[in-house]
Amino acid sequence: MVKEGIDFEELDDGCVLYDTQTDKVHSLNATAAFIWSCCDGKHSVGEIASIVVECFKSEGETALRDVSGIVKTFSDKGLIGA
Amino acid sequence: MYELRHRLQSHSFTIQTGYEELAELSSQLYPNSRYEGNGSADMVYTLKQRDNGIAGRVYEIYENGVRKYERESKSRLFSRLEWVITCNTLSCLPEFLQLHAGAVVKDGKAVLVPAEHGHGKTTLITNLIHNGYKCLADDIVLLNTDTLSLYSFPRCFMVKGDGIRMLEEINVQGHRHGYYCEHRDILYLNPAAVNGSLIEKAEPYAIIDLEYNPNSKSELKHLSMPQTCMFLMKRSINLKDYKRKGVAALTGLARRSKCYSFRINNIKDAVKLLSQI
Repeated sequence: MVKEGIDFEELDDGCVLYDTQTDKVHSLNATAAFIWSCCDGKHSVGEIASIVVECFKSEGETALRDVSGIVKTFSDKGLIGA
Repeated sequence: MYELRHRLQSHSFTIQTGYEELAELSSQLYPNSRYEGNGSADMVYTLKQRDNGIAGRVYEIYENGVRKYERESKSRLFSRLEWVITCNTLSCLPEFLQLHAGAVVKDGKAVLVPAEHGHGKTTLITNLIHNGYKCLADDIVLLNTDTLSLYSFPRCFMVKGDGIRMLEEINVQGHRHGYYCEHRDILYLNPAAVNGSLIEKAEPYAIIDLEYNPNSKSELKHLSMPQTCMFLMKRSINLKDYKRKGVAALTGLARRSKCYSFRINNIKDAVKLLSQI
């Protein structure tokens, strides 16, 4: 679930996230931005990976590993919470 | 007493001195923001000189009557004065998001070059204005966060050491448009004197992440907008005062612009490649 206080600035090829509580800025490429938009508390990591496979023509196993890694990074950086 | 009155956007300042030579050198710093007239200034800088016995002559800078700095040579005096005026003026212009960047304009399109000191901004921009571009700034650009228009910070280019040698090598004749301070160790180059090329305001068109590397070939590559945003933020002087509004403005600037990474190993290639934008 996306943490409160994160400003989302959409760009053609990704996005910029601004954490208003820590004053930190994060740049995301197009794939990471897409995954970010799926982190709405309604989709599991497995479901997000399935959507990524469909939209980005990735391999299922690779997509699951990549999505897990990105979601963990979001979590480590305090951008998403439980 | 010599008095040089200046206005930079909403900030006014006066440089005053009783010494003709110091007045002449002072007049080279911000020649394009001078105005004639009366009225009080937001800040008055007074320059004095005195003989200090065995230590020789010393030069002093006073801010609104308070003695602040002392230097042993005119070159160091004017380096400090230029720096102090720039810092004070920027702190008085909170209405702009300030970027450490140069910028040139051609056919109404502004090319913004954010970069730190020593990355070749002044050298590149000096060459571009000798090749048909107009100058918005060589070191500081002011951004209106509502309209995303870019504004000039119209000081002279201050070229030192290797920069002077490079300009001489590429046959930019400094003495025709510039003014050497003391031992030819600082060159003040007035962009307005080069085909009257200084302009005050422009709309963004392209943003360049400049890297000078003599060991690799010159190339211009697309840079992603998120990456562009990040390096714009790093080059912002007062983003901390703007926070989310600043982030939104810089994102908007990237969104509105073509974004490039520009690696150069010589200045002629750089001018040629940039003309392709």
